[in-house]
Parts: sequence; C-alpha cells; structure tokens
Amino acid sequence: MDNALKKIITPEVLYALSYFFLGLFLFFLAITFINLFVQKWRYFTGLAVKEKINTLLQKALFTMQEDGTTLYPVYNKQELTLGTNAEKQIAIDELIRIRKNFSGESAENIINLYLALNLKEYSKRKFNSGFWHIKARGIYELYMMEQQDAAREIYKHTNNNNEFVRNEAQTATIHFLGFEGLRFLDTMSTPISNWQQIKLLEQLSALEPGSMGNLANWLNSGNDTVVVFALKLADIYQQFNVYNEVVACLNHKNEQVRWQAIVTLAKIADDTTAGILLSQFFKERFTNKLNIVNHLEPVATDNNLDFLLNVLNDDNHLLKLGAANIISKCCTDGMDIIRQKALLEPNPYEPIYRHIKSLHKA
Amino acid sequence: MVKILVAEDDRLMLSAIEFRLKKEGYQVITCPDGKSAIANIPVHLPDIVITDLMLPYALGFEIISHIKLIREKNIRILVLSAMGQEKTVEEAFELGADDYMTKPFNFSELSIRIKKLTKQGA
Repeated sequence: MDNALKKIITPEVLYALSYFFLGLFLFFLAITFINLFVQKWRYFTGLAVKEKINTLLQKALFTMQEDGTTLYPVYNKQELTLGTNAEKQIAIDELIRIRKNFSGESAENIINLYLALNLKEYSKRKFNSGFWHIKARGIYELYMMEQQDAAREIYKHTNNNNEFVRNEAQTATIHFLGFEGLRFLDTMSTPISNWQQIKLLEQLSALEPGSMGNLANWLNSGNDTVVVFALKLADIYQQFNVYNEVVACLNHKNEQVRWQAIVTLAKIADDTTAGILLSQFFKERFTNKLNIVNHLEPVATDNNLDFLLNVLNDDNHLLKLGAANIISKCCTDGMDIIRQKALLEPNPYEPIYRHIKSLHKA
Repeated sequence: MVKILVAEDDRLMLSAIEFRLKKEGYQVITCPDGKSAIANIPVHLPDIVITDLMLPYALGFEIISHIKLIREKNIRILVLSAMGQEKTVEEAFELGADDYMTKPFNFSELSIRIKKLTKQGA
C-alpha cells in the first residue's frame, strides 16, 4: 500500500500540485483585487457624477427671477458632458429621483436639463434595444421625463409579448393620454396581471375621470383579464350604463370573471340586482356563493328573507355567518331573528350571533 | 418675520425649499432628519413646520405629536409627503396637521398654502 502511494505521490507530483494551488490562489487574489478596484472606481465615479448632476440640478431648481418666477437656466457645454453609459445612467436615475418630487416649473427645468444633457437619445437607444429589461427601462425614462413625442411608439408595445415591456408601455400610455390611453384594451390579447391592474387603477385614481367609451366592448373581450379589469373600472367609476353587460358576465365561463361581475353588480345595483344575484347563487360553486352572500348588503330587503334563512341553514359555517350578517343588516328585526335562531340552536348559532353583535357594536 | 422649520431628508429638496422660502422673505431653519427637527422645534419655536413623513430617526408623525405638546405657541403644521393614501392623510390630520401636500408638488402651491397658514396663525 505504502509503496503504491509512494509511486503515485512523487516529489514531482507534489511540486506540480503546490504550483497549481499557488497559481489558483494568486488567480483568485488578483480577481478579488480587480473586482474591488472596479467597485471602488464605480463608486467614486458615481459620486462624482451625482455631485455634477446635483450642481446642475441646483441651477435648474434655484434659478429664479427677481419677481419670483422661474427662469430657464443656462448651462455651459463643459458642464453638460457625460462620458460613459454608466455615467449617463447615474445621471438619469438622479434626475428621475428628483423629478418625482416636483411638478410645475421646477419639473420643467429638470426635464430641460435631461434634454440638455442629451440623455433623451440615450433613453431612446434603450427603448429600441432588443433586450426586454433595457427596453422597459427606456420606456420608463421617456415617460418619467414627459417625452410626449415617444408616446406613439411606446403605445405599440402595450401588447408586447414581454410582460415587463408591456406593463411599462401601458403605464406610459396612461401617463401620456390619461383615460384615453385605455384604448389599448381594445386589442389586448396578452394578460394583465393582478398587480398591473392594481397599478393602473392607482395611476388612474390620480387623474380626472374621463371617457370610457369602449367599456362595453372591453366587457365582451375575449381576453378574460381585460374583462376583469373592465369590471373593476365599471365598479370604481360607477358605470351604470354597462349594467346589462355586467349581468351578462355572470354567465362567463371563467370563475374569476363571474367573481368580479358579482362584486361590480352589487356596486351598480338597481331594483333587479337582488333577484339576479339570488338566482346566480344556485348556479355557482362555493367561492362565488359566499361572494354573493357577502355582497348582498346593498341590495337585500325583507323580500329576500326566505332565501337568506335557507342559506342560514346551510351546512357551511361561512355561508351561515354571511347570511346572518345580511339578515341582521337588511331585514326588519334581523338581529332578533338571529337571536331567536341562537336560542333554538345554540350550536353553531350562538357564536354567530355574538360575532354579528360585535360587528354591529364596532 | 415668519419663521419656518423644514424637515426633509433629501438634501437637494431641502435646499431647494430653503432657497425658495428665503426668496419669499421667510426665515428658514432646515432639518435633515426627524430627530433634529424634534430637537430644534422647541428651541426656535417656528410659526410653521413643513415636514416629510418618512424621515430618518423619527417619522413625521412623531414630529407632529411633539409639536402638539408645545404649549407656548400655536405652531402650524404642513405635511409634504409622497404618501397620498387616504389613511395616511387622515392619520396626519388626526394627529394635528393643518395642511397636507403630496409630492410631486410645485412651489407656487406651497407658497399659497404657507400664506394661508400664516393668516390662520395670526
């Protein structure tokens, strides 16, 4: 055994291995130093660019006439030179960060600085890139800097196959055109994620409500997510004119669409809504049954008491609770009805009664 | 001269607000974080405090609460924040804010609101 090992591990092999590991160690050491050097260089370059941009921004924000009105600042060529793409990116990030805080003349001056630094060309180059993450970034920069002339080109990407590109393009389109921009829903074949729907609705909430002329068409879209989004719009902006289209959505094959249609219908309800929702109840599975019961409050009356008492006797406790809540709120002596039920069948109606009572107190 | 204390953590924003307010003839005290704002308010007793909500060391809400404990002077509070959610605005008013502006803002509007607060305090 010893002899065999001695034959393999010769001094030459040991020397070779030592050199190999020493070389490997030196290689990693060099890589580490180069990496640290690059990081340090980036950090200091970043600081220098930020300092330069801040000086320019101070000029943009602090230039003022004696009467208090803002004056367009004059920059010299030397100030406006940015070298590498990394420097340009730092400059854009800084400008956008500050731009978010201001509107009016100060914002205009920041945008003018962006143009004077020739950063629009850089953003446009990114917008035309083949890489989705660069393209999305380019769109973001162009709309944050109010480059209206890019709106048309950006609009073409509202149905892009890449989710991030189309999300940015949709946000940009609404930023440029307001409610009018929602026309991208007309031809949308790609899905709108729940998160994007929330973002768009949040963005719209800050704008003056405008025309939603195509809402009825969006409610009939072949794209289920467009229908859900349109239902949310009808709900938030109280679009009573599409009541019939919303009712039609109750027959949609997608459960999520029906779920949203129930929610919307309760918000734009009329005298017929209670009957429609009650008949829908029997066609639905548990999730939407519960959804209907939970959304009956604006429409339920004493006329629906029989139905609600039936649901109160359902096997499922959540349905029982939902029905008890609606009875207590919408029916004459509703609370007494639940109390009587709790006296007759303490289990499970006593805790339901106590829960409803606590809800009323709150 | 009306004294205004501004609490804002963004250096550039802080100096931009300071510059504009000084141009309009106000005396301005700047604080880059919540802690220094809380320390400076009882010392300078400003007429108006303009505060962001998200500040290092102490939030804008804490600044408002501290101001409400000061009995010597009726200090008016203007919140200037990017947070525009109904709940946040409600909370700020409940704590004692007199006005609320959301970012992005423009200086003309800020100026009008300050004048209004000055009149209310007089």
